[in-house]
Formats: sequence, C-alpha cells, structure tokens
Amino acid sequence: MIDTGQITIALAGNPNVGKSTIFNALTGSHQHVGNWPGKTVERKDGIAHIGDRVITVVDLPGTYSLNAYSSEEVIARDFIIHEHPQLVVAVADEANLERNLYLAIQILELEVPVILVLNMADMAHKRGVEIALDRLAERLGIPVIETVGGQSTGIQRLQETLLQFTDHTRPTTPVRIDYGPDLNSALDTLQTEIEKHESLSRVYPPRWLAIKLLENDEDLSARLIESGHQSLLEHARQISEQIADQVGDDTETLITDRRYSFISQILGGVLKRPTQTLETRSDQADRFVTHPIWGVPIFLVMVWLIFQFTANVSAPFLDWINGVISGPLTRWALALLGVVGLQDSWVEGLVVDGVIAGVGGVLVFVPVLFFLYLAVALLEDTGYMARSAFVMDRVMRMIGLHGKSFLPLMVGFGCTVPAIYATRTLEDENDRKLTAFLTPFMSCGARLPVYVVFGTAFFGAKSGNLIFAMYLIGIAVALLTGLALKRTVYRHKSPQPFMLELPPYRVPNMVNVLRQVKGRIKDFLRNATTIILASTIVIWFMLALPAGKDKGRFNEVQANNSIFGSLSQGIAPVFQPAGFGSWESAGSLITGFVAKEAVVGTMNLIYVNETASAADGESGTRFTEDMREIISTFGEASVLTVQETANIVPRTANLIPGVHLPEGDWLNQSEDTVNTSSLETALTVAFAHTAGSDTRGKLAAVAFNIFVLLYVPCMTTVAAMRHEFGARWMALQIAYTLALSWIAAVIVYQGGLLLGLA
Amino acid sequence: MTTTLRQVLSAFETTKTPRTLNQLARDLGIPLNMLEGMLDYWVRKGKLRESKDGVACGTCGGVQGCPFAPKLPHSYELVTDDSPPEECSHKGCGCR
Repeated sequence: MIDTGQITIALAGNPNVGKSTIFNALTGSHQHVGNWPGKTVERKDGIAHIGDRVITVVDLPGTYSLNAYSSEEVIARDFIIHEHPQLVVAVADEANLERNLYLAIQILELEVPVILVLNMADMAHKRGVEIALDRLAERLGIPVIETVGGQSTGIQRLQETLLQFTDHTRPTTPVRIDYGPDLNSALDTLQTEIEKHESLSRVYPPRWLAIKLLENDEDLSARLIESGHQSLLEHARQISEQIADQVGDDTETLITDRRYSFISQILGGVLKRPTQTLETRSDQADRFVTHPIWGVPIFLVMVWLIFQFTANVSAPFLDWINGVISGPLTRWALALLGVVGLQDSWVEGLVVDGVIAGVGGVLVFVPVLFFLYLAVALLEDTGYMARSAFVMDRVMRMIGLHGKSFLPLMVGFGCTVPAIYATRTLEDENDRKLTAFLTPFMSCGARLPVYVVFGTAFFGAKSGNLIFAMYLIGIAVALLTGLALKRTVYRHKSPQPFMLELPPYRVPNMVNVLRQVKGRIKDFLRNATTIILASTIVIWFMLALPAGKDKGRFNEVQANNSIFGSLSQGIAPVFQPAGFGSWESAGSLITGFVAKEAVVGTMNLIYVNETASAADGESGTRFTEDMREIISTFGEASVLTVQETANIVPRTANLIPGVHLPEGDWLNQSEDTVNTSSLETALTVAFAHTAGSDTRGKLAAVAFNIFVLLYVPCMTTVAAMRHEFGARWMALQIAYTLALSWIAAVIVYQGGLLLGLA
Repeated sequence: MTTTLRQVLSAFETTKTPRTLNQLARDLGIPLNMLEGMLDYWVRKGKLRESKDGVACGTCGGVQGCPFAPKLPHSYELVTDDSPPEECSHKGCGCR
C-alpha cells in the first residue's frame, strides 16, 4: 500500500459503475494493486496530485450496500469506519440512480463527508435520463458532479470539489433519513444508549450503529458480543420485536423499505426518464411475440425457419464437402499410401474405407450443424430464446412444469448433456428430475446428420419436412411423457410462477454469434476426431475380422460374416416389425449409443465402398484437375446456398393452402437431379430390399428415424443422468427410451402399412 | 401498511403466470433498477432464488468453457422447501 501520510479519500460504488475509470482519471499511472489484508479481494491504491495536494485514493470493492452480506461489503465499511478517510466519493451509474443511491445514503449514514459522482452520464443522456443536479445536491446536502470517467469529462470539477473538501472550505449538511415515527423513536433510544458506551461511540457513529442493530447486522452483533455488549444487543432485539408486533413487519425490512422510499422522495422532480422507457419497443413487440395464443404459432414458425436453414440452405455445401472427401481427398490418400508402399494392404482399407469413410462421412455435416448453431445463436442473441420460456409456459404447465423448464429443453436441441445440467436452474427437485427425463427427446445436433441422410435419400428436396417433423415429434413425445408422468409418478403441486428479466430485442452481434458457432462446431470436430475416429477404427476391425475360421480371412471377409455383422445379426430380428430388420441398420444403432454421429459413420463403413469409387480415378496424376474441381464446385455450392436462402420465402409461403410460389432454380437443377451421395443411394436400395418395396422402404426409413430420435441417448448423456440423479434414474431412462423408441417405430411402420401408405 | 418490499414478495406469492421484471416494476410503480435492488434484498434474505448466467456440464471447465452452456435469462422465483443443491458435487467442475 502507498502511504504518503497525506490526505486519504475512498472511492465507493456499485459494481460496474465505472469506478475504475474515475480512479484512473484521478491517479493516472500512480497506482498500486494488491489484496486487502487476509482477503482475496483486490485493493487498488493510487496517488492523485491535485493542485499542491498529494491525495491517496483508495478504490473500495464494488458493493450494492454496506450491510456486511459479503466480504466486499465488510471491507468497504470497515475501511470507512476504521481508516477514517477524509472523504468518500460515491460513484453512481447515472442511468440507474435509484438503485445506486441506496449505497450512497448508507455511506451518508456513516457521517463521513461525501461527494456524489454521477458517472457514465453520456450513456444516461443517450437513454434520455435527465437529472437536475443542483436540486439533487440541495436535497442530499452534498456536492453532486456529473462525469464520464472514460473521457475524463467532469474530472476537473471533481478535482476542484475535492480540494474544497480537503481545504475545509466547503461546508455540507448531509440529509438524514426520516425512518418514520416508530423507527425514529427506537433509533433515538438506542443512540442514547450507545452514546453512553464510550468504547462504542468512539469507533462507530452512534446513530449508524443503532440502525445496524435494528437491521440485525450479524457482523456487528458478533463484534459487540466479543466486546461484551450483549445487553445492548438484547435491548435492540426487544425493540425490534416490539416494532415488528406493532407494524407487522421486521425492522430490517422496514428500514430497507424506507430507504427506498426516501430515494423515491429525493428523486421526485429531480430525475426525469423518457416516458417510452415505461413501455419499451421490446415490451410492445412482446405483447405479440409472447402472446398466450399467437406466441406458440410464432415459436413454431421460428423452428420451421431454423430447419429450413439447416436442411436446405446447408445442402449445397454438404454435397460439396462430400464430393471433396469421397473424391479428391480419397484419391490423394490412396496416392500417398501407394508412395509409401501400402497400396492394396489392409492399412489402405483402414484409412480409406475406415477413417475417411467413417469420420469423413460425419464431417460432411459441418455445414448442417453450422446453420443449426447459427440459427440457435441468433435466437439467443436477439433475445428470442428467453421468450420461449414465456411462450411455452402454458404448454409446460399442462405437464406440471413451468416455462422455465423449457429452457433446458431448448438447450437440448444443441446437446443433451448441458441440457441435463441446465435443469439445476430449476427450484423444485421434482421439476428437475422430470425436465431432465424429457431432455433426450429434444433432438440434439448429433442426430441431425441421420435425418439429413435419410431425408435426402428418401425425400429429396423435401428433406426439410422430415427434419422438421422429427423435431416436432421429439417435442410432442416429451410433452406426452411429461403428461403421463404427471398423472402417475409425479403428482406434485403446480410449479411456482417466476419473474424473468427479458433482455431487450436487439440486432445480433455477429462477432458474438460466430464465436459461439465456432465453439460448438469445434466441439463437434473434436468429437469427430476422437470418439468417432476411435469407434470407426474399432468397427472397421470388427468388420474386417471374420466371425469364424470358415467365414473368410482378415480384411477379405464379407461384412455380414464379420464379427460386427454377426453381432448385429443377433439383434436385427428385434427391428423386423419396424421394417428395418437388417443387420446393417441394427449395427448402426448399436454404435449410436457411443455417439449419435456414429450412426452415419457406421453406415458409411457398411454401405459404401469408397475405395472402389475413388480408385476409378487415376490417383496421383490429377492433382491440378482435382483442385480445379474443388474450386469450381465450391463456387457452385455458394450460388446454390444463396438460392436456397431465397427459396425459404416461397417454401414457407407454400405451406399456406392455395399458395404456389415458384422456387428459384438458378443453375437449372430440378428436383429430379438432386445430388445424392453414394450412402444415400445405398440406403434407398437397402431399405427397399429389407422392407420389400420402395414405398415400404420409405416407411421403414421414417420408422428408423423415429427410433434414432427416441432411443437411448449417447453414453455421455447417460453418464450425466447418473451423475445428477443416480443409477436408478439412469436405468429407468434407458429402459423407457428403448421401449418407447421400439414401440413408436413399430407403430409408425405397421400403422403406415395398415393405412395403405405402402 | 404494506411496504413496497412486501408487495414485491407478495407479487411472487400471488401471481399465477410468469411475468417480466418490467411488468412487475410497472405494476408496482417503481423503476426497474430499484426493483432489482429490492429483489436482491429478498434473495439475501433467502425468500427468493435468483438464476442467472449459464450452467455448465460436469465434463468441462465451467460456463465459459462449454460451447453449449446455455445463456439463461436472469430470473427470480420463490424459494420452496425442496430447493436443489446450490453447489455442484462434481469435483473440479466449474459450474454452480
């Protein structure tokens, strides 16, 4: 600490009021940073040279009050009481003066000279806040100065006023709060008693101590007990009880309330806010957006738009990455393996058919996830996400939860694991359990690649409809499950309503949005290069190893005779009633337990022989041609992305019966020529073969997607469930999701057959 | 006479539907920033519970570290008997 032996002043204020900018403006570079003795709270001291004065400035920790609820509050008030600064500069945020004055008047009660600084005045003026400074100064009985700390505006005035104080040429008569007859009388009694104890009145301002005793200040009570003043404490307690009996409220609440009343009284006619801040534009928009009736359709339109982006706008780049991975990249890998002499070896099979097909098959979905995460981040940043809690409150109440439970469910659209942890924000333990139980039904980003592959394979340009349907079915199943649980297991009381701070609508900050998207995509890529890579390698070996000596040789065995094929065949009959009883489908679902992205990765390993297609090229001789192809198809994908963005408008309008707006086809690619990858082609053939016909195959594909949507979540989610709610709850979740997904898939397939859909 | 502070608490006890802090401030005729101060008083007294910021999962370093950690809106609700634990039991987890 810097000790000049000169004048010491303290800066006090709420957190985030720009106190540091005032400190810096006063002290420049003459600063010392350390900790308060025995605390981890930072202490900043500095030297201000004002005129011929050298003043030590101590920056107190930011606090909302001096009530000793936190170590910061104890430090701040102890410094003022015990270190006797000549002056306290109370820094307040001018735009939030009502709250900030609470601390300022508590400092005044410590009977120390105070200057009130209204900082961030520029921001307050922009928001239309006007303050009659002279009237405020007159009412408080202390100087009031407006500043913009960051621009040093008002600092000279502050310095001049500081000098007047340190020269004792500025007399002040601080206002005293009128706590009302009952409390005033009690305070007078206690003050008189405290004044009789010299050891106390020498240290503490008697009236302030009286107030603190009626506020039942625990820190001071402990100190008074330590110094042998139990009788004073007992007397204060008796007085408090008497007042509480008379008035019907405890003295701490009464004192706090009267301080706020005093602030309102002081600011009456002094502070003017523009009338529109009473009901902002956001409030007006919310009348429509969070309307009990219109809110839900608006929410559904939002979800529809998200999945239009996810399915259609991302499709051109999905195709582009798929083309690059299965074409040039595979050819280059083959050429490289040839150079090191591994051509036609099992290593070539592992790298090309295993790693590139499996991991590459998952990486192609980066554009899909980019658009999903972009849409979700935009909803968050614009402030709409918070509104979903309001919109869905009525729906959630039907299942005994409140709208706040919908927020963890929304998080589940990204990843189920943080969604389960997000239930910690719920007050009621039963609400938590029930909400967590429902989160796996909210389709996470990892399941999206499955829908995209099947959507494109079986529904072409209308794949967005399948994806949208999957998400809605997930929400519907979550609600129905909640309803069933509410009527059976969770017959608990209705949840308490909540009060929410809705952030104002704003234009999204694209830097923040893209940072968030980048973080989520990075997480997906990390998964792809760790869990998916590892599971791909394991599955490749299981596919390369024969199930018996008579089944073939390593890396030359037919997939259905491999260990993986044999295992999968063992459970495949279970799925026969759902129309996808092939070992390939069963095997993919098994790996989906590790991570849902692995479903597509496994299908790529099983269904697609990438080596064959890539080897058709003359590897190693067409690098320039490959690069040209990559660049030209990238340009094409960019144009198509813009086209698909524009097509959202007609596609959405076409949902209205009777409306048929034409969709753009800038590169003359009709629906018939929609790109399908080799996996998608293989899937249509395989599902049709298993189910018995093309239309049955389509129905089985929908049933398969339903199963993927509802069946047991990935192992990380299961672990999170166990961590939060225990092994029994986890086991129940696994059993329920497995049973439900199977029943739902069978109902979809068999129901579709009965209805003549296939 | 009912104090404004009591009216704030009473609004939580009597409301049937969720409300925004702006609505509550308008209904009570007090500025939003003053209402926030009053809400903090009841939070300190243990009558209300405040939720803000995100909640991270147990597998990452905390709210800032998890890309999926939700940015949950700032909300308040009445404290009931079966509150969930404030502290996470997961060792090394940076979450609340």
